[in-house]
Amino acid sequence: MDQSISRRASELLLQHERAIAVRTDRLFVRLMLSQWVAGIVLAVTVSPMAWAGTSSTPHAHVLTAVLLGGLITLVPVVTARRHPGTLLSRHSIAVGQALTSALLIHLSGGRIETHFHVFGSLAFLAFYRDWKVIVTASAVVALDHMARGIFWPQSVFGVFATSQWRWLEHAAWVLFEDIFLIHSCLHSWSEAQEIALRRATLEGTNEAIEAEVRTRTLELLASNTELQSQMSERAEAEMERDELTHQLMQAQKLEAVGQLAAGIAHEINTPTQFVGDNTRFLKESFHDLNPLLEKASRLAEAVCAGTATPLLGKEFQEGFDGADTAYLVTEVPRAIEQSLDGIERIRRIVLAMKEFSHPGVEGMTSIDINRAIASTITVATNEWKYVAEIQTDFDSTLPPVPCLPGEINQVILNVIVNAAHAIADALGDNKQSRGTIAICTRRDGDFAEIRISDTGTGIPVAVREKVFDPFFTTKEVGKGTGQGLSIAYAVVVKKHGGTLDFESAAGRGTTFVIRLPLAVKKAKDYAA
Amino acid sequence: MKRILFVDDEVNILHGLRRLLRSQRRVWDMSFVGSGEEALAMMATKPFDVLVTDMQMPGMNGAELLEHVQARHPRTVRIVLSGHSDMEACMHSVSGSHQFLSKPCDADALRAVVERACNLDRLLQAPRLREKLGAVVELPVVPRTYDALSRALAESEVDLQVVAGIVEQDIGIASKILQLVNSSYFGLRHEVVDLRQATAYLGVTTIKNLVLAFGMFRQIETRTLPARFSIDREQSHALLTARIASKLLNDKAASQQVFLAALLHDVGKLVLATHLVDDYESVAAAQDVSGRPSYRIETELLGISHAYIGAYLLGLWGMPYSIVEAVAHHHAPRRVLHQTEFGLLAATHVADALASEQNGDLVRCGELDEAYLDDLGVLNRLPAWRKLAAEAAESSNDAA
Repeated sequence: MDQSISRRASELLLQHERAIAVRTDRLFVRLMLSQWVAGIVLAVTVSPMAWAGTSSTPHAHVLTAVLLGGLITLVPVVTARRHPGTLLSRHSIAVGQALTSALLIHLSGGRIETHFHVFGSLAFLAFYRDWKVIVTASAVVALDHMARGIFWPQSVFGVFATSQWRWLEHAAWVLFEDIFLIHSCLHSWSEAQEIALRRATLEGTNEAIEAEVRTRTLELLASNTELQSQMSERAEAEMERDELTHQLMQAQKLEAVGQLAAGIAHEINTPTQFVGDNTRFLKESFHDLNPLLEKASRLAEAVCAGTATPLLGKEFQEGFDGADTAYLVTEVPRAIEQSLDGIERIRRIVLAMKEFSHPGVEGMTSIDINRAIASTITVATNEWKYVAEIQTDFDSTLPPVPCLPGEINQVILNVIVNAAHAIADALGDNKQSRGTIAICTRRDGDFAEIRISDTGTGIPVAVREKVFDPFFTTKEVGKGTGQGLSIAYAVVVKKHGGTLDFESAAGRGTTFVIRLPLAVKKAKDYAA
Repeated sequence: MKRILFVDDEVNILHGLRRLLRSQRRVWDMSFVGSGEEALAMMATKPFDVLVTDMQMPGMNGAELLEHVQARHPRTVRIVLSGHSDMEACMHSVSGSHQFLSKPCDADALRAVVERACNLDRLLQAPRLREKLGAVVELPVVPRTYDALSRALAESEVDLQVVAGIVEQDIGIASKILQLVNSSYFGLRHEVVDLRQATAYLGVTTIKNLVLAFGMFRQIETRTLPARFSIDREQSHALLTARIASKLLNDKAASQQVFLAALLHDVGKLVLATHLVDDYESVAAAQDVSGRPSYRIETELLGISHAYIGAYLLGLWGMPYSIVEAVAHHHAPRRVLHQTEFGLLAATHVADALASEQNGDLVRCGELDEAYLDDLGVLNRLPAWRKLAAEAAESSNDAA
């Protein structure tokens, strides 16, 4: 920075110097031309003619003024015109100006007053603010005085004889002036230097400021662009996240369905087995009873016809005993009863499956939440029945709850399955006992409240804050993706404008509280 | 009277079974209990021949019960009757049980399975051996075959044909695959005896799970085998016998079935060498002295030959009866009465003898019962069969 400033300063100084030089050159061009004219006028006025007898010729002074004056004037003038502002032009002007003084002194016949022209010239030359110019001019003046003072004193001092050292006195006066002029030149030079430096500094500062402004502007532009792209990126990311959430939800749904499917198959396979066995038994029983019925029919006919014999009665009795009738009389009604019970179980679970999955229902629908919970309990039977019993306490006065039925069922399923897992963990190897899952519903102002309590391990304090985080799970690999509660939260809070909280005591169990608003809020985003 | 114990936590299942099987009450002494704990308590008081248990039960589950019974009462035939439909549960129960039935199970199928399990002891009367064999739920696999199978399954695109080709070379893998595919898990209405078909039924994913995830197959530790026993020799004899046998019968289905019977005909030897080492050693020592066929020495020393040991085990695992029969009697086919045509048993008998001839293994050589073949009217085909056997041996050698 400093280097560039000093470079710029010397550049400015050079410009300044040149500008002065050019200006002064121009001044001198005019001055010298007018001096030439003035010299000629002077010569013509003082001694226009030289008389030799009657014939007169123009005085030599006039010729000198024209010719010598022309030479002295035109060389520097032409130089200054050709090369304005150069060292050459100013030094030739210095020489020319000094010689003009000499010429004028000569033309005025060495009048001492004309010598003032020298001082004036030097002062004018000081306009160059270049002390060397003054030195050049002074040297010319001194040499001129010395030469003419020695060889032709009249031309310079207006006397025929004088001290050969007089030129020294004149030179001394010139030197005297020079001291001031040179000092002034140097001073002005250093001033110019200072000004140049200040200007360069100012320029530098300005430039730095401008550069800074430019940089800032560019930065602003860039950050603006970035902001815009960030905004669009963010919008994109949000869309992606929504999409991901949706996919995760689908995946979790599928996972739950897969898990449920195995459990439901088990729940259906069991009654199917004993219904089949019982039916097979009934078929065989009827097959065994058939001959007895025939015998009974024959016996009845014989009795009616009055042809009944004790033999016929005995035959029937034997058949009756042999057909295991006593057993059949007690077992057949039981087999029918249990088969009907089995079929009812299958019917219930199939119905619950239908209710649970709510096929074809999209968007908000008002449902009987008690019934929905009951269905969910049924489809999840195989998930809890080996570790817990379920107690329900449903508020039958609860009004229909507007919700996305499939998704709310999913939430309840997740919480029940978690409860069963927590109870299984709490039971450990103590396989004889079972825990309890208590589910109750009630109305709380504008909300329907569902409380699902378990007697499981409870949620450790350390992980309570992470319970609703996506992918957070304490279950072993393969037992859950860690999506269940995070999705439950999204469904209850974001999609329904409800709340999902839990109370937990380590070692004693956890209660999840789901609260769903009873009035639909239109402003909410219900997009599934 | 056979004693059978049914275990299920669903009381209606027990009621249904009791009614269904009431007709058997004069031949079977049946007990019904609602939990694994009760089952063990009851088994402690009296021996049971067959146990039929549910898998998923509160308290002690089926897998645990099977484990206890396997340790405490190995002679009891263990059958699973489960409502599970997922593969994992099926795999777990297959590993602890002899047979696997899934609910809902056809009444006749259930009766038939229990009945066959009850009758198995006709094949193997020695209680000591029955105890030993009851603990055997799988046959070890030759490491080389195991590696080949693992490699084939690890390919990005598994070639089912390649897998089937490997499966049918190993007695252990083949028997397990067959046991699985015939378990009612797959709900197939007919018995599968074709290994390629079985492989296709199970599919690549299941076989992969079996081999890689469930570690279903235990590799033979060759250093623990008796010095006189060569697993490679057994394996190649089994395979050659199978190849010859499959050429003896023209019918496609029959030729696949006989391939299997012949492949498994010496399963008993493998079991002796891996699970009854002392017995194997004493038989082998006696054989060195007398040079007589091993099955005769086994009958003298152990009271039973390897043929019956193998047949018992295959029966325990619920293999198709025709195969069990062929394996049991492949040395003495005449024992099975009322045979009028050249079938599975006869073909296995002939193929075993011809394969032994090809290997120049005259000691092993089950003496070919030419009179029996004459009775069946096929003795004249023997020269042609010998040629077939020679070709099969040659192509086997080429392949090796």
